[in-house]
Amino acid sequence: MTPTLEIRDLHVSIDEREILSGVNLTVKGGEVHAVMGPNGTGKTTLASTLMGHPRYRVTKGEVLLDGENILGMKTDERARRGLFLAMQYPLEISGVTMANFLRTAVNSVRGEAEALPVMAFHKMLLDRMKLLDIDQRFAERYVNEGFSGGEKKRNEILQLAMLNPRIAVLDEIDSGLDIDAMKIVSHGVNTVLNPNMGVLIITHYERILRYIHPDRVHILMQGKVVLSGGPELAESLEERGYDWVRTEADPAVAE
Amino acid sequence: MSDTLIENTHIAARRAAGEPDWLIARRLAAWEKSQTLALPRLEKTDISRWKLEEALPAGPTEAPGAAPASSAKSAYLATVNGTAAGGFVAPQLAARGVELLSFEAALEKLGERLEPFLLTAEPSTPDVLTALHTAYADGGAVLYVPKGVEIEDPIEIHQSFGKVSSYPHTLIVLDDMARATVVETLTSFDEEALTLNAALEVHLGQGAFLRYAGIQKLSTGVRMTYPHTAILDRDAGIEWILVSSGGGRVITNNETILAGEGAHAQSYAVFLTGGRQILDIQTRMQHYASHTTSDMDSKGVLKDASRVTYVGFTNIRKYSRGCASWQNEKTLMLSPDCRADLMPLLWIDDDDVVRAGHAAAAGQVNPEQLYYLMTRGVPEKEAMLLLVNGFLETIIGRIPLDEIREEIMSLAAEKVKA
Repeated sequence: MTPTLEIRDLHVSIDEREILSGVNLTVKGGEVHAVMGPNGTGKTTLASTLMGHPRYRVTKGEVLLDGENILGMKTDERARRGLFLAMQYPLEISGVTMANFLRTAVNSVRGEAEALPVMAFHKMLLDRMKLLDIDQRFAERYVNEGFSGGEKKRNEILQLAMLNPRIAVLDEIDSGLDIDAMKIVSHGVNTVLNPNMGVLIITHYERILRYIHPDRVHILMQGKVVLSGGPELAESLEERGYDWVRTEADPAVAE
Repeated sequence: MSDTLIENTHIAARRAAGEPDWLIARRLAAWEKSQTLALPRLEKTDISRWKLEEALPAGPTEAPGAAPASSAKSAYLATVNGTAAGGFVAPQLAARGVELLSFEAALEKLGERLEPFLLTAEPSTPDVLTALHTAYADGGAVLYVPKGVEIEDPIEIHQSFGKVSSYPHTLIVLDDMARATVVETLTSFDEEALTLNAALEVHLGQGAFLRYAGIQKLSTGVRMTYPHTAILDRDAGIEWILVSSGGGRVITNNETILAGEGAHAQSYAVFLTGGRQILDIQTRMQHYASHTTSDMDSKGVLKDASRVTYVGFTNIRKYSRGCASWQNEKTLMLSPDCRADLMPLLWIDDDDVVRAGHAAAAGQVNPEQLYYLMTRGVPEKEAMLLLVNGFLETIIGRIPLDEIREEIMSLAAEKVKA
């Protein structure tokens, strides 16, 4: 079955303040969707809500993963059903090695029956680390502790590659990356991309979309998708900025 | 002595059983003292209703079944309620005079050789409980390692308790230049309520080195006081690895007396509590001689409504020159109802100190870290355990015994998942 993520009329609040006001979006396996928008329009809220961060309260709407509403599920269960979120600011976890963390995660997602034997896991890990140009010694380092910004982002994509989700949400994985790091991260995403994985890239900048080519681009403003189109939409943004969208889409927002 | 009428029936019974006069005299003196001493004064734990002082010595009881199997290669002793239940000393060590015996067997076999040591190590602040222990000590383990004997493989002592209260005593004597590692495990064989007034005393001769790992996993029905007192001669060293996860109400005063120049002590304490457990740990480093050093590192994980008090106490006496001491105390609180009081104390009476200091912190699990792990499919309890293990890692990573590291991890898993 082709993976499908359907977001239907999603309304989300933080502390009684509405951030998302009716988002509709569908992502299918093999597709790359980009959600773009200026700061403070709810991009990270969308990503965090999909993953079930306890701070965000859904007041209306549905999120269906492969046809099933996941909004009542805890974060870990969503992950085990194939949802993945690469975070803008990955956490540091002292005392827990990357290898231990990844093995626990991989085996949690695969379930006991399909848990990877240690050797097979290490082979897979070394293979994916090579793909992302990550030094083998990182396996014994503590999760994100002392990692540079670029290393943290590569580590997020390493986790993506290890967990092989059905739907991957990448939240500003390009922020703070220099061009070389961007190429490595994009190459990693492009390599793991397959017909059984849908990708939702959330970004502020058009730059990353030159390396990971989106099938659809959606513009999020004031808590709603105000404009959707093909890759050319991202190019227009690069040339004309968000102000142009504001004029263009204002009636839609006002609706 | 034999003509004296002994009023205290428990001590009278000991004499009737043939205990030597020097021991009976020691017991009587302690019992007399106990009449005037009060309960230990603890900073945060009120033990006035624990009734530790009311426990009566039970005397030897029958061992319920066989001693647990051991993988020890050097020496092993199992006791049940303080009475021998099995064990051995490897022939090559026995040939060099190494003894590992139950309390009773040791008195019989070693007799006067125990006189300079047994029940002589008084803590710096005696109280009614330590005095009663000396009066009633009624079982336990004795390890004697002669001069210059170095034992590589860990020696195991397994003591199990149940049904009745008792006064178990563990005595470890390492003569000059001897070296040994001892792993002592305390367990319960049933869940019944009982009191243990236990004590560990360690005597280390010149240049001797002891690594002592104590694993306490008694049932929560147990109320216990278990002071540890070690006296170190010149250049002797001790490494404490103290793991507490059991017991309902436990106080333990771990005191190292650095009596000889150049003596050194290292203490690692790990405590894991849950339910309504109350644990009061004191670690005291007494720098009574020059160029003595001590370090304390402790980490605790608390759950539910458990309470832990940890007092780290470093005392550098006047005229103890060139001493160094460090304390590091950290706890991780897994519930809003648990409570930890961490008190690092430094008493420095000499002005020639190489370094001295402390760090203490009590913190909660970072919910964002928990969320991060859960976004990777790790269930909440599993994620919690990863964070707990990460928290303990800095102390576990420094513990030199593989089996103790594994034991701590499995005890932590048991607590977190309970």
